[in-house]
Amino acid sequence: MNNRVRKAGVFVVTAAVVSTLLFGGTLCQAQKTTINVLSVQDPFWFALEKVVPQYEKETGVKVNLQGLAYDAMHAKLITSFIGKTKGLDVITIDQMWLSQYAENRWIVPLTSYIKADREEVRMNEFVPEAIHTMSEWRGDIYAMPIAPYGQFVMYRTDLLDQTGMQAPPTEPAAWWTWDKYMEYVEKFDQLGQDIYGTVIVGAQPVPIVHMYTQLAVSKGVRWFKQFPEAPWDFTPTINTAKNVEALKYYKKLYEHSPEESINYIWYDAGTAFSKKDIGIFFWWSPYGYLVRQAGYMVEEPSPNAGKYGVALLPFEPGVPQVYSLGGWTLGIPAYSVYKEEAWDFIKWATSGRIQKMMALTSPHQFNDFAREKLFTDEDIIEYYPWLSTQLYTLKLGNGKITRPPIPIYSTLEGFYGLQLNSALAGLKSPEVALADAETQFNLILKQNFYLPYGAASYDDTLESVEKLIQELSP
Amino acid sequence: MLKLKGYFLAYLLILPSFVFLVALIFYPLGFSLYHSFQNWNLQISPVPLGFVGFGNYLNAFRDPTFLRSLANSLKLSIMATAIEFTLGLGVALLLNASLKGGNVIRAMLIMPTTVAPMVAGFLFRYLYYVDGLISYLLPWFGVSVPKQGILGHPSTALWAIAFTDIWEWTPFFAIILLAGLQSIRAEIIEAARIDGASFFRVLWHILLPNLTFVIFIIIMIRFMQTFNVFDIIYVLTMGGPGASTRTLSYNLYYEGLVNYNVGYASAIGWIMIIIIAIIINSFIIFAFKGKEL
Repeated sequence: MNNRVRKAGVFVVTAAVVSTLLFGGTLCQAQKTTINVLSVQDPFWFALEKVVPQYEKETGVKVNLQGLAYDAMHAKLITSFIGKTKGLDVITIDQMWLSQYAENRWIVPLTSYIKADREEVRMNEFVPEAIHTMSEWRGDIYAMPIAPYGQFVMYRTDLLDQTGMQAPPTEPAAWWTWDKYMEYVEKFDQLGQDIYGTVIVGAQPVPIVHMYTQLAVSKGVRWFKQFPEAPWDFTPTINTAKNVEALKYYKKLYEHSPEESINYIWYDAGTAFSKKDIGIFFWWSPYGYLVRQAGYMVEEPSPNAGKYGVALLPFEPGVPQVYSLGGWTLGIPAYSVYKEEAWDFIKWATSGRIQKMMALTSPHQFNDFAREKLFTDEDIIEYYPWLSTQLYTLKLGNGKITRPPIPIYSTLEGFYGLQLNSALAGLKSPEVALADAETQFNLILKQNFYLPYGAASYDDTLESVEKLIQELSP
Repeated sequence: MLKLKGYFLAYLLILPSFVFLVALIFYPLGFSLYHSFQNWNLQISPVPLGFVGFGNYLNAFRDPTFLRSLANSLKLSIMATAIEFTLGLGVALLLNASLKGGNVIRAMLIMPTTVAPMVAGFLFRYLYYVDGLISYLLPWFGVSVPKQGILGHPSTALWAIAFTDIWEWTPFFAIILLAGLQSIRAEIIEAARIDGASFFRVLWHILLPNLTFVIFIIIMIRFMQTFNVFDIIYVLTMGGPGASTRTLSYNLYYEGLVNYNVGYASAIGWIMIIIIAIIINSFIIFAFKGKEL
């Protein structure tokens, strides 16, 4: 009996020791904090993926970084908000979604977090226009910019030499108007059968709006009577002579583009420029580096790498120039259980040090900075020589008038894109397309209590954001 | 007592399936029906804003995009189902003729149906490119390809979607109809042939009447499926150019998962259910009039 008891005792102790050795490590591992970061798979995601191990090493916090396509991510975010899912700690927010997420209280304001860590965050380093467009809503900061995008012109230097025309400017020039741009497009088009003057993005409903609204805002078109300055008046102003002229201009650009560009989404235009013979086009600033490669985020260089230049957008005489400003920010969902850890990650990912690391990491496919000092960093300029042009576009950027980020923006964008595409496809004249778009705008705005607007307006100006930045700076 | 016990046991055994059915079918249907009468747009409020009666339904019929989607759905379903049936019947008749290598052909034939619709969509997207295989071959048959590409022109985009659907689902018709043909007694057909009946007389007077039930069922199923098609449209055209390939399903997706207009999307969903129910029930009444099922 004693022998049996002794044997049983030895067995139990051995089993306990072995179990502790085997599983104790796992348990310790399990107690290590893991934050879930959900992001869109834009270029910054690939660069962030490469530097995230550094964060884990520095802090001991594990980061589960998940990337999804645009629509899939948006759908996942909304369903997680509605379901009050606790599984997301940091999310990427497109510029136009901020107001919807903020007003529905789906994300937490970051103003108090910034105040507490002002020395570390250094708000004064950020380009105020980027904060105004992407991060601020009704006087609060809701998200920190991880990748702001401006728009500029890219052109083929070798084809330009054949035309004998002067290079488009990298600084403001009185001669560089939209009429002149069209001259360049036509000249490129005449170079040969397989050479296109330009390329546009025509796919509805969203991609076409991204490209078209840059042209439209530069030509003085506005979506509403008054926004974002108070008092807000959402009377639509898209069926105007200016917008009809802009749409006719865009149609003319399409005539000099590959015919299938009516179905082009964002990267298709970039691929066309990097692989085909396209003379000149304008697009989001990440394409400044994306067109160097043969495909999206691949290492293989494009056949046109090294044969293109970057320039400012043309302007419309008599109209103050405005650049479209878009891009992505990082925010914290209201239902996250790791808000402090999430904030630590956001501070880290948007810091100057890490943004520089992302830019210098091979294959050098990220330069979408929000901190001004990075645009003059010589180490970075070596890989992205057009940074001064890019900074200029951000400093004249105003995403709040180019694509007004009101909560029902997505619905309005859908109608707008559908009508723009219909005009491009020849299904409707520009006049009819814009009239139909405005009719739909009126209906949607009325149904959703925007016409007349009864809620309180907020005087959302660049000056008010600059003041806020000053208050939050060290 | 034993009888009661037996009934109790029977109900207990089917209870899990019933709960499953309620949870996965009836609850979502009830939820969507309730919210189809609400003003609820997630873009402006996380909760419904109030009862609007039939407002969402009326808005649908006042919305030109919805009406266009309805027309496209009907056009696509009728076109695709008719062509799939005709081609499927032809293939089934050929296979029924005991050709050499029939087993291999049968196995290869079913392959398109096993491809996921999204995958088929991506495959055909490349084939329809301006420099894709289909765009290259069509001029050989005297069909001119628009400069914008097959998917880029309103006159060809819907046909392109129909063709993709036909490629994928014709084998389904062929296999089902073949099974039906093979269940017809060979002696009947032989007797007709001996009496001098031509192929078309045999087809019209013997084969098709014996296949009536199978034909009606398969047409009904495919019509419903094509009416609800979404995936290949999402991959190929996203409803464009303009709204020329936007169907009710795509519209439903767009309103529900892009615009987050839950109330309106729910109303669209229920309009689709009602339309399908009317069409299918009318079809059943017409097709099975005087027949015993």
